[in-house]
Amino acid sequence: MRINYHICLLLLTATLVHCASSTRTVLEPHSELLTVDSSYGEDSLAEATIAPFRTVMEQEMEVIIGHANKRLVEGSVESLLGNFVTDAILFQSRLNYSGKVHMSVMTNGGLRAPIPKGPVKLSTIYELMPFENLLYILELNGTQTSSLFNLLASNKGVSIANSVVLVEDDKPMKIFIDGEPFSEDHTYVLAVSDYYAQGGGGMEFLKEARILATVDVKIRDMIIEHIRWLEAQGSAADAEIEGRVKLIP
Amino acid sequence: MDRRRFINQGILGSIGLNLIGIPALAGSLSDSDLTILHTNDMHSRIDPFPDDGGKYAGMGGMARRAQLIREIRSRQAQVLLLDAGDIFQGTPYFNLFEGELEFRLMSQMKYDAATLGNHDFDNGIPGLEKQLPHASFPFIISNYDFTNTALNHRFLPYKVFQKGDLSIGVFGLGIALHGLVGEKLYGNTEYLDPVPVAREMVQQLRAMECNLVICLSHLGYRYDHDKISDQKLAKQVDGIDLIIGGHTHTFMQEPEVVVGPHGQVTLINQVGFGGIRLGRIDYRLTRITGKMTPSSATVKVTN
Repeated sequence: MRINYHICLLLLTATLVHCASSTRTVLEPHSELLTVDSSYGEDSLAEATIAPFRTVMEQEMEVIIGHANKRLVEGSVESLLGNFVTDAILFQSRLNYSGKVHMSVMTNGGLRAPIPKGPVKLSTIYELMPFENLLYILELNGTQTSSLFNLLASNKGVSIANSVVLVEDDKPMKIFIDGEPFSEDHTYVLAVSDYYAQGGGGMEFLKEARILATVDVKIRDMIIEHIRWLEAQGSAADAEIEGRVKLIP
Repeated sequence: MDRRRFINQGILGSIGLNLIGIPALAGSLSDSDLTILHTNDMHSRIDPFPDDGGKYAGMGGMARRAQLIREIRSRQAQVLLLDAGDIFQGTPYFNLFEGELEFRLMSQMKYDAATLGNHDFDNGIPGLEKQLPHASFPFIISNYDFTNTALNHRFLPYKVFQKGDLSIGVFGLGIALHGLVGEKLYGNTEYLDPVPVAREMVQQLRAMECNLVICLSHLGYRYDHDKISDQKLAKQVDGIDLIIGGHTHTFMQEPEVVVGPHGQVTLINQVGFGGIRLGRIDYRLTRITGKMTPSSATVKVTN
């Protein structure tokens, strides 16, 4: 599919020589948008190069690990995919860490592909969570917990499990964690990937939090395990928009 | 697109110029003297997007892109094929083969150069180093200092490509890695402020009499906040003719024209992600007769 644009520039910086008194030679750009779709055939050399890699990839990745009742996608404020993934991380972290865990978080930037409705292939979870991030268990003091909810309220692209926050004018007005109102004097335990624990995704404040455990389990494998566990229970991978983040108009 | 249509559009373009009271074009010297093809954020999307009802179902695919590029090369003598980073990460091909296939296919397509994106560090400095032998094209990055890493001297700060009679200077800008890439992954790579680096690169490439200066950028198209972006770069630095951008996965319908601090014009283009699109910008040597007017620019959409 092709779309063409012509760009008329009155003065181009790419002026070439030829500057006779009133004649100039310029480089005039013309742009075209090419969409790579089935209207193009496949280059035989590229296809031959890919084929052996694809065979290995498919053998490993085309395994069905569970089912999804509906398409789970990321989105602003609160999303089906964000809720599902943070729930999975929280649930699985409790199997991998003996102490109390209150919450888990994930940013939209960390959710790289949706889970389509129907059978869930292993490859889908690799696309959703391609990173090799490991699980960290952090203890947050009141200030660090506030920072987390401030980010959530202003950014609208952070998902959270086992917490509810009322947001007004991009600020958290009321916070409930594990069913209890948030208190500055309490500490809270967060299950999170090492990427965020090391300050990534705008969570610089997590670098100050006390590390309770670094668990040698990949976040991706936790999601895979969770979907497999759900399937074994006869359940599907699913989530609802349930008002974890409520915007006050 | 057939040649005929291309020429017609050239005429439309000159009408556009006349309409706004600018000298008439004396006519094209040729159809296309330079064809720039570009991608960004391909994210290991070797095969087309799966047919799962998603927005991009069935689109993309590196074998199709290779075919499209082959077709274009058969018609255009002077092609420059560039990528603006984040080649790695996004499908199991990367988890299993660590980028080898991406680099091999790009080498077969005869990419002229790529810059580095943040995800190209996802397997750390050793992970990137390990795959470099599979890339027959250079990586151009001007604002990362790799001196204290295993990748010292493995990349170029700029490169001048000779395409026909044209010299094209290309430099590369990467995004700030802190907070975006795990510190263990980028190690001792030092990020340098892109603005002074870009000014230095433009000066150097202009001194080498480049006809066209291209910046391969993984800074991102634009942000609501202060962070440096392609837009901000173009407004602050004169003398970049074209910024081929990435990182923000922006599907631009047409290149944006930005006027720099001293009135020079920069085009910015970015083509989404995942190899869904291939950007194409043709440059024609065109003779303009008459008085040049003060700088300003307009984009005329002919389709």
